[in-house]
Amino acid sequence: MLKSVSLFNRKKTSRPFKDFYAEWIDTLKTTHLHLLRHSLSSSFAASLATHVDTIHHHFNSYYAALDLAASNDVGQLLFPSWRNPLEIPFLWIGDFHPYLFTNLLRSFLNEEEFDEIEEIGETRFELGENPGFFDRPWNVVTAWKSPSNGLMSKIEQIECGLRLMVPEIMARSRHAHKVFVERIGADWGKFEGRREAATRAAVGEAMEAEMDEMTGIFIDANRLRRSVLADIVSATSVYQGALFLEGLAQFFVGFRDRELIGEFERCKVAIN
Amino acid sequence: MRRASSQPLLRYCEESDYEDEVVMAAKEAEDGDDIDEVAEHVTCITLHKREPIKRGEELSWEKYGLWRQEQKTRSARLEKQLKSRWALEDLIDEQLNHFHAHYNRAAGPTRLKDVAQLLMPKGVPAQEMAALAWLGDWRPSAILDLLRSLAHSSSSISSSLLESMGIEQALSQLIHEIGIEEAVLDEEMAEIQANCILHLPFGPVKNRAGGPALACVQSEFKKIHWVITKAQNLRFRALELAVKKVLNQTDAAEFLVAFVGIQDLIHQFAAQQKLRKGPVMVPVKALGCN
Repeated sequence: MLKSVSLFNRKKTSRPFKDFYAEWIDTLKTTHLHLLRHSLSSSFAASLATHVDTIHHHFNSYYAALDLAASNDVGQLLFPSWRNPLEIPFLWIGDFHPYLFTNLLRSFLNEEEFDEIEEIGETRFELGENPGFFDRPWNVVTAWKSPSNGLMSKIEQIECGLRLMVPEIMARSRHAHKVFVERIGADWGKFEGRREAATRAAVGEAMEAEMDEMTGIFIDANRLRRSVLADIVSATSVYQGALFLEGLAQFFVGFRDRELIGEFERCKVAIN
Repeated sequence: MRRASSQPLLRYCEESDYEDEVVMAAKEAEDGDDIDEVAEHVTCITLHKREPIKRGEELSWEKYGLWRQEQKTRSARLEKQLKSRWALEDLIDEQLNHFHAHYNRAAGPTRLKDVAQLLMPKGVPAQEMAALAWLGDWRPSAILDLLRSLAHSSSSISSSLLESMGIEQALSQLIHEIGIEEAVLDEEMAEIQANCILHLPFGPVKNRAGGPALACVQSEFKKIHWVITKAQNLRFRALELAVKKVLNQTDAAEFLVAFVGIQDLIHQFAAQQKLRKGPVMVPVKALGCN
């Protein structure tokens, strides 16, 4: 935590988002994920609840920072150069797709269904590179066993809301592009003959209007991600929520795995 | 693909007296040195400017020789003019090929790390991408939206388009169809992005098929590469349809000039913004959440 403590002593009012993200992901990995895993392995429900809150808050702080930075330059946030080539193809409007959150949630349920079919005497859980999983208390291990009908209907509600909101955001983005090029086209036609200065000024104005619109879209996309996270955390029990957030944090952090990135960068085989 | 719509000169020639047409086209070329204008003028002026035939005048050998000589000169000019038409067609094709090569980069051997480069090309400023990019470059329907907007506002490109409501309608239909194909690709991409958490090696659900971590990554990247390839094809198709099917030769050339000019203006503006703004900043108070 030393790094983040030192931040508060700085006199500066702003800092590069790139640096913020590097520290944010580092804190997620070395502090929050570590603590969450530690309390998932112990049987203190109270400390687990605290760590679930903390890590949820940490995710919220990231989305809040994205929103705050958007007014500075939304373009760089939509196409973030600080995300590596392994994760860039998976970004949707500047960050992970909100469907990913509900798919992660479903994966715990499907895992259960799968296990029930495959079960041979003992419960089989496979949670990736999850250290010390089998040392976990019984209420953690069985957290996703037989989810209540109430939870299932809440999950369906969350998914239903997403299915309404995501296409709308996509449509807005499409429309923004259309409005932008139509405006540029009209200006180009209007200023024919004295293109240079007049058209350049017009492009600048059109671009500003477009960035305002994209800022709104970006903030709404973040709001959606944030609200899905909040809905999931509030709909699930502390054990379920903890396992969900552990999975999500592991996913964010996994893209920074040095060994994998090294292999990825060195791979010369064409994929087509 | 063959040019389907209006080709003023050739079409007019089929409908009228070719010889008169030829002579007058040459005369027009002679009167105004600007050969670019001939093709347009020839269609509308020829009928009114035909030279009166003087009856009873005998053609002497001398005059006939002169007349033939003049015919040859005019014919040569006309041939030159025709050649310039084909030269224009060649230039349009060259420009299209250039776009094809650019929009078809994904077809070449692509390594894992190249995929990010296709979606977020390093040389393109972020604001330019944010303004119009869809899966790595211009949104195909936006290319056609631009054309429609230019046709309504530009005096050089609109002449034939505005005359023909059929073309306006065809363009709208094309934009609609291309938009549907974009939406399909959007959904395919969203599905990959949403499900990657189930397949990538560091997702919480261990890949049941097993295998090394990089193989899981490769499998996901192949899917994404496939979507990018289809997006690039769609992008080129939109441009090619506009240039080859919707527009006549002159308008196609005007449109390509405008398209490249507009891309350049947007790029320049975005590059200036990048320099002016520097890296995106976040207020320190946002960090209080840590």
